[in-house]
Amino acid sequence: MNLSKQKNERKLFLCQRYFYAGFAFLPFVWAINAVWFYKEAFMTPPFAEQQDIKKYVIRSGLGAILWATALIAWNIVFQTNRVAWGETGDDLSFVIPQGRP
Amino acid sequence: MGWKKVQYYQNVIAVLFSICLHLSWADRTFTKVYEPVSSTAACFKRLNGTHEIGCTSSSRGDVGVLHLVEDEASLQWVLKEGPHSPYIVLLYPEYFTREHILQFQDSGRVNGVLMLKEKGNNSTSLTSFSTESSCPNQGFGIYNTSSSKQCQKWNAPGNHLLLENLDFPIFFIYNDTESQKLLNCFETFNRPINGSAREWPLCASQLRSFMLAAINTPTCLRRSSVFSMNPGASRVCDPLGDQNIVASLFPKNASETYENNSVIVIAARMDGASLFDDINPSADSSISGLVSLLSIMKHLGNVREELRNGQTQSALKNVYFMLFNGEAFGYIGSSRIVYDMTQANFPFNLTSIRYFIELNQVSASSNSNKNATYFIHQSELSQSKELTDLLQKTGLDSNVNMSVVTSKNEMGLPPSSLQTFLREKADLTGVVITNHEEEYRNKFYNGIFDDKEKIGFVYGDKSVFSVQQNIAGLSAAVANSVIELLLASATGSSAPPPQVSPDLGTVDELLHCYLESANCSIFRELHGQNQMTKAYATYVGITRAPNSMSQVTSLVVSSYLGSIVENITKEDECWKLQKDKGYYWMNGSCYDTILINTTEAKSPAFLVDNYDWASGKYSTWTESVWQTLSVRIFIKPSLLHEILTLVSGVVMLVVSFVVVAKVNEKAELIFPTRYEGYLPVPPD
Repeated sequence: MNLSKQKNERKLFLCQRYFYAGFAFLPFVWAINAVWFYKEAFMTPPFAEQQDIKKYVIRSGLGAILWATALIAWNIVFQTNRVAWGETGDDLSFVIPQGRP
Repeated sequence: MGWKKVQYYQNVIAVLFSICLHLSWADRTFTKVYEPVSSTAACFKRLNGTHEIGCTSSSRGDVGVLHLVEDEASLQWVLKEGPHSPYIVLLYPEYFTREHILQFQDSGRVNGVLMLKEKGNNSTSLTSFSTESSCPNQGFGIYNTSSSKQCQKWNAPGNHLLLENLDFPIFFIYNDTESQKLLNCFETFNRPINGSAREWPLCASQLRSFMLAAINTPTCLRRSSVFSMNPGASRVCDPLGDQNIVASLFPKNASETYENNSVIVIAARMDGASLFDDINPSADSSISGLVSLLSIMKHLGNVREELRNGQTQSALKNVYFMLFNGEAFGYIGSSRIVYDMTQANFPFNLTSIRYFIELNQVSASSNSNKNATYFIHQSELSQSKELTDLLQKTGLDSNVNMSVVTSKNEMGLPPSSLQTFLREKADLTGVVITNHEEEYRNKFYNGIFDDKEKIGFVYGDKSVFSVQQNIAGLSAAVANSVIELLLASATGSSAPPPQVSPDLGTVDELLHCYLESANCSIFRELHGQNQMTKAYATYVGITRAPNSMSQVTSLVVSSYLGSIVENITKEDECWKLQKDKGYYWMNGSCYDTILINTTEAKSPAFLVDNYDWASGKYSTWTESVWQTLSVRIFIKPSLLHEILTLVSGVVMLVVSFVVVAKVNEKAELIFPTRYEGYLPVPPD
């Protein structure tokens, strides 16, 4: 879909829809929303719905960043402690490494 | 003429093309690079409740430059001086010592070890080679950690490497031509000239023996049972175990229960161990005792009717033969039978046993004109002068000396299955018959070289002091003792008690079957033609896989103790009754094998709920799963050369892309527009 060819109300509708969809534990949707509407929110000449789009883009972006930080932090904690956690570590693993602790 | 010319060219091109195809129809690249080394036996990984032992390579295999360690200088070369580390060490068995292996490990310069066979055919030059612990099965017997007898050096040459966690792959090359291949490669490319290293390229080797299990038994079992889309795909280890063989001399009614002290047990172990997969001849370690027990079984089976008639008044009701499997790894088989007895899952319990006679390592040969001497070991708490006196008396009749090891013996009871029984019932009357008084006479205990040469077995040797003569004598002596025990309290029997004499032929043939070739007359008769020309491996293996050795042994037992069903002469009729009556067709007859049973030889540790894996009560050994075991050699260029090859390949790839792109761009100029349709017929 070429965003620049859409009507402004349609743009706002899409941006809003994506923002709310992200609450269903879908941080990638927020990330996509932030990137996709970035130009509309900050680069194009002002239009009526731009303020709202800006709001959703910023919130989506922040949400995505928060998610990313949390996931990376957990990953570091998990990878460094998996062996020490023993059975719990194995239970939390999807693919258990072979031939090593 | 033009048309014909085109056709001609087409034909020429087709022929040239097919020639090119034929010329390039060669092996795949890796077969040109690598030379596989076959006839190898790998050291692999085993795990117990708390540790892992054995060897593993990295998942893609470990690579190093081959170097032959044959003296102090070459050892130092590998450990310190050589410039081409990491090395793969080639060595002869006399250099395969604990000290050297640990040095290799500590140096960090060794990526693997390949052990060759003895130089030439002179296998007698090796005076000892045992990778077992010096006190086998320590901790599983009657002596606990507080006892001074917990670790007695029964197996003095034992270097404990079998129980060590080694961090590089080790293979044994048992074929001379393959060994020569490795040695030639080393001589041609690697042997230092006048003490200075050769230049690249050098002969290198890649060893692959990646083991999937890790840490310990509870971990690997847990990981084996995680959910997987492909059932069994996540399995990384299997419990060691197989089957025990339990057979009785007389039938037992289901309703009949044995009173206290009414059963004689004659036992031996079936299995051996070694550091390497599939090579564990165990000639003295287990085969000698097994063959002796089978011979006793045959003797008693032959006089069964006379005994049956004579012993009706006797307090001793039956004789049970037990062949344990997995004894080398923490008494798996016997501990399971004792466990079954305590769970009332066995025809009788521990209190029913009057005498327990175990045949341990019993090979004995002597060149001097002297009878072989066997030693009767007993525990302090469970001695019986009656039994030892009887064994000594019957021994003399069969030309073997029986020497009773006094209870004051510092060494205590040698490692034996009897210990498992004594642990549950300390005053059980039991004897262990061996060929050693203190430390093992066998200097190759549980190792790859515990073979027929070490016990001096020569097939068909009928001389008076041969190993088969001594084992036959011992077996007859034990059989006669058992006959006397059974008939001792019998009153009013008019017929003289039967007497058996040493059966040299059977012992000779059985030793041949178990030590030299499974394609022998006894085994062939029992299960038809057999393609296997070497002897069966004695290693207990894993519970999931059948063990040929114990299967064929149960057939031998069936033929000695089973009775031929006279009225069934057709094979299919016999098989039909297999389920109900335990009939078995072999050697052209239908055998009633109701007296012969097999019981699962899997450690109770795997049955008890919430077993404490660290407790050490039962054997917890498991074997890791692996995918590939392979050794191959190749000529390895210098690192610079390898990088240059890679870089030039990448450059070629990039250049070819550029060329194609350019050609595509200028296609109109290079190739004139194609003429549509067929070639024109030239006008006349």
